[in-house]
Amino acid sequence: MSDAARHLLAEALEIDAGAMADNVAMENFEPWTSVAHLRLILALEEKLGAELAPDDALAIQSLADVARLLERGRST
Amino acid sequence: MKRQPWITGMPARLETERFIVRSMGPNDATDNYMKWIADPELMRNLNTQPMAKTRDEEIRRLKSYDNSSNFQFGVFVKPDNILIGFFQVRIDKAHKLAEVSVVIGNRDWWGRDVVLEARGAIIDFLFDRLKLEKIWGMPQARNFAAIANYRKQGFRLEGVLRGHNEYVYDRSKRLDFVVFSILKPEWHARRTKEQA
Repeated sequence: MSDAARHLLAEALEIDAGAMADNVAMENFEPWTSVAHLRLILALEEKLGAELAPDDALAIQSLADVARLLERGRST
Repeated sequence: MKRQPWITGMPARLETERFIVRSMGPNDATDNYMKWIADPELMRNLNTQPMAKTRDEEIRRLKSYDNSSNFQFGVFVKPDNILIGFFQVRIDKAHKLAEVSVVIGNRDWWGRDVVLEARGAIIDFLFDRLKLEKIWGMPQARNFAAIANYRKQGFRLEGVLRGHNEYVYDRSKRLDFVVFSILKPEWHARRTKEQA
């Protein structure tokens, strides 16, 4: 899992990046609150320099999804 | 949650670990509540203009809920019964559906799972007492906090409604909305898993 994704998510969730397993997902991870999710999406948009399309924002439900989006953002 | 007696048309009262969730009445149009419904930041998520109503108008509106086909539930923190937000529920009895929306007015409670806990009690009530079959909600596509709550509560995404409404704060823009829903068997399976 990319360090960038891990750190971005940890910052949004206000936890230590080391406290997250690679398979962390919104549905079963207590720190991933509604407000943390809002922070995450806004941080992603800031990093990518653009507003996310609804389908892209809706797809973010796990650390893997964050990594995928960052990877795609880097390649476009 | 403790189950309390209820008769159709009477105010409903539900209880969770931290909250009393009950039908709002005229005495609940408190100063804080009147500020919330006039607050553009809160009302923007519902895509409605601030309801700059007088207290008398708001009391009349609260009285219009029949506690049968529509409800406005307040969320009151135990043990002091402090109102922190409210849910609106609109029921389609013919098809056994309910649409639910929420405003948490007290910002100190944002990000503290109020919606999950209070809506859980409302969902139990709608499925088990009112015998409905499906509950749905339609947040704005950029209401990311609401979307997270639907996901975390097991609602499924039905789709994106593109450019579905004019943005009431800027009529030159149109807003996307998303539809989430949960069916009774899905909810019961979730509750069973939680209790296991």
